Amino acid sequence: MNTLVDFITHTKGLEYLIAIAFLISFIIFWQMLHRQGVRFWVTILPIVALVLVFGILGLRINSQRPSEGVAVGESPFLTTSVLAEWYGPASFDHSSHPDHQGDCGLCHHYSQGRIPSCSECHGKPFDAAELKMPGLTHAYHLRCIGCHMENQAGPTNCVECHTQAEIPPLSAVHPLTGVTNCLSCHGENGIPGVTRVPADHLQATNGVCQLCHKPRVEAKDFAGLPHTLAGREGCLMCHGAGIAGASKVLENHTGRTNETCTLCHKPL
Amino acid sequence: MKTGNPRHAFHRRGFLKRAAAALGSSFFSPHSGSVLAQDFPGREDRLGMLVDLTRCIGCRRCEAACNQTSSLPAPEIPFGDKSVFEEKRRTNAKTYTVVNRYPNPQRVGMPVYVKTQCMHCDEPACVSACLVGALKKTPEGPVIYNADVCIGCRYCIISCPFYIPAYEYSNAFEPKVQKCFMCHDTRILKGEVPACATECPVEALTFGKRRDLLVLARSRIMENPDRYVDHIYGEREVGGTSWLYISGVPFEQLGFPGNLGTTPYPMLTREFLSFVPLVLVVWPALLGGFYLMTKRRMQEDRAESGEPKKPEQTLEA
Repeated sequence: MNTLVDFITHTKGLEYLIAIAFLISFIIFWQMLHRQGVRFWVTILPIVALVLVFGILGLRINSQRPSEGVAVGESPFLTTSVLAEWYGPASFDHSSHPDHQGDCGLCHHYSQGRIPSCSECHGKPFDAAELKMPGLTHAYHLRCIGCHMENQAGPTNCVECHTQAEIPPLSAVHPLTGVTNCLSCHGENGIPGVTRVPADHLQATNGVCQLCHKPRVEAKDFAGLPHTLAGREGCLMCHGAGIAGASKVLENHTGRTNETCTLCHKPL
Repeated sequence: MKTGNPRHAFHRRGFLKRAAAALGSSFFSPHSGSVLAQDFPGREDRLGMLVDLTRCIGCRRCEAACNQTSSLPAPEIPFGDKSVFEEKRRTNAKTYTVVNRYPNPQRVGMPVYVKTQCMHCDEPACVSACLVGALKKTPEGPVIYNADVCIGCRYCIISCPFYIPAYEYSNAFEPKVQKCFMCHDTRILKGEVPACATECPVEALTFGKRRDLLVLARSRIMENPDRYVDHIYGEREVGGTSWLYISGVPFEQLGFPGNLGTTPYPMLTREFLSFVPLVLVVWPALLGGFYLMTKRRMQEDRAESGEPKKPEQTLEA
């Protein structure tokens, strides 16, 4: 037992057992005094049985959760992946810090003679075995933001140093009016040939797409269909190969089936 | 079992002696030998987190990372919005960690940001208060929760010295106690670092073995005595916590509870708890013995005076 709470939990377990034993022996004692016969036992035994069953069930549920110790430090490396997707790298310009020229050791600390670059020492992202050495990202941030905060000069927020990653705008292929279900085409099981949502977006719902992805250009309308559709379900029979002067489907529509054409293209 | 067997007699006598010693020591001197005064050093390799408040820039990426990794509902005010710092926030059932802003009395214009979450005490009061063992101090360090056995008594919420566990009052049918679990199941057991520490852009959060973190914290204080106050919050508070804080501003000015003492909270109930089994065993046995003795004497009296035996109901009434 390593902790006091372990000891207390253990003691409490024992006490529950003692309490149950106490309850049972009290019933036996009561019976000994009053000698009430079979009817008494018929009432009392199911109650005792219930208490025991629930107690044992509770213990079982609680002991199901394994708590095995793990070897710490098996996988000490990690990357700040989410942020790296959102922000481009910052470039440090020595000439924009004229006040500190000649005082290299201010940033290139713990070194004499040759000036090492930051990444020579702060190479790894993060190493739990080497807690004293910040990773490269953190070293930069600590050095830059720390100094800027200390002197109340220079940028301290993200976008003043980093370019924010550009979110792909909605392309100009189709108008957005009336389009509410993005995922029916762009989702995982969408139409072939259509841009799919990236793998890390798979939990996104239709409601959130346009919060980030804005239309860039005024979208043009789809080509209308010059003929009626009565009796013409197989669009690709004519338009697939361009038979008898029918316009051929676009190159980037390769792989699409008859069912999807009229989702966008309506008769004029 | 033959009662005349000397080995058995010896054993029983030994047991009685030990029980008496235990009883005595818990009564008179709680810190003398015996199992009741045993010392509990804690697991050597337990993990922890060091928060360097002088580094925190208040970006709230830790809050966002926690929200994402714990699959919590999106907050009303987005994580990029700094207006949340206008008021002091607390953790709740949908927010396991919050960052608050405090003015810096030493340097105006450089506020101090304080991340708050479960401290994962070495001797958690919530675990000792839990009737059914739903909360557990894991060997790795985090204090975790098993909703399957929780009976919803909320003693853990009352017992916590840091006011951390929160209850899902909005969930009518299966309310749970919610707090930071230090990503125990989702990350630590896989050998990964908790989400908040992963996302922190300035390594204000450092994850590692608690003893390493204490060395790191102390060396930072020693190397920059002007930058830090000489206090590692969580090293001794309520018997030590897994989360450790170092700061440039005294902790009392940053909303940390300052009068917690260094006694682990479970220590306060330990004596009482150790007594319950003895009372439950000795007291009924004693009273039962008295009863039987009295009854026998009365029967003897009656037999001597030649009275007919009465029915027992009248005796008991």
